[in-house]
Amino acid sequence: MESRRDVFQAIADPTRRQIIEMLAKKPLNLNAIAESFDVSRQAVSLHVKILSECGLIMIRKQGRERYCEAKLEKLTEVQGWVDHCRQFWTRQFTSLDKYLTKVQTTKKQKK
Amino acid sequence: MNSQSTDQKTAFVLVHEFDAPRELVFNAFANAEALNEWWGPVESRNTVIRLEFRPGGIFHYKMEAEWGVSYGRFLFGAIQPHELLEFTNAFADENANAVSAPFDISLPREIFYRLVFTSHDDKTTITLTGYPVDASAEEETGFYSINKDMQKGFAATFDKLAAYLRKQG
Repeated sequence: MESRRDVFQAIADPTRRQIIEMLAKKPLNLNAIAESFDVSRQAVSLHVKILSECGLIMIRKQGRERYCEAKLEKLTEVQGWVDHCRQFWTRQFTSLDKYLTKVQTTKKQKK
Repeated sequence: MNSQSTDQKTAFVLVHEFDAPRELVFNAFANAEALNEWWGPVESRNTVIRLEFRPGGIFHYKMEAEWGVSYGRFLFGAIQPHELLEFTNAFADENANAVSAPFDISLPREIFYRLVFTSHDDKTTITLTGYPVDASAEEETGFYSINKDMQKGFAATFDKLAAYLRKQG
């Protein structure tokens, strides 16, 4: 399986979305992040690793602690996708509207 | 029509009301004849190559535009007639393997969509939500099935993370 490390991979998982949200408020170390979740510390650290590889967080060493900081500017790429998605589906639904009007008109004419 | 934006917590959401009964709206996704008429970008000629409208089935389609030919696919998940439809959508090759988008903007490779159909007074509302597909979940599953001993698997992951953190430091 090809491994993709982009902003979409980062936000694909609900736990990762929650971690980003927590870090957006303030930088936290791994223990503090892990305390907020029911899943194992190992699972949380894997999410942190993925987030870091996706460029959504930065890990900063402060004394003996390592703090995770959110890099929110990356999320502008998500906005680009959302805009694209909205345009795409709005067009699809307009096209579906036309189709539905057509088949309903044809049906009435047959009656 | 009403739409709602994404933030880091939620997904893409779009709500659209159709002036048609729910069964008709739902079935427009379920047969090739209908899809040939409405599915696909307006700027291309779109044709259904294969449609298996069932959970686990595939919808493979061709898009012929002035600038060239591209393909797309759905892989269907849950299907509850006239109420719920789930599928993933990706650009594809002619053999229906997922590929990256054929244009230069940053998009998820594959997107999971859930469409919920509700009706009122002979009108139908689709509430569509979309999330990027979590490819790492597959990676993790692959990883753990290789390491049958879960503890060992977790330890290996943690070692990799520790090594990564050391490099960062």
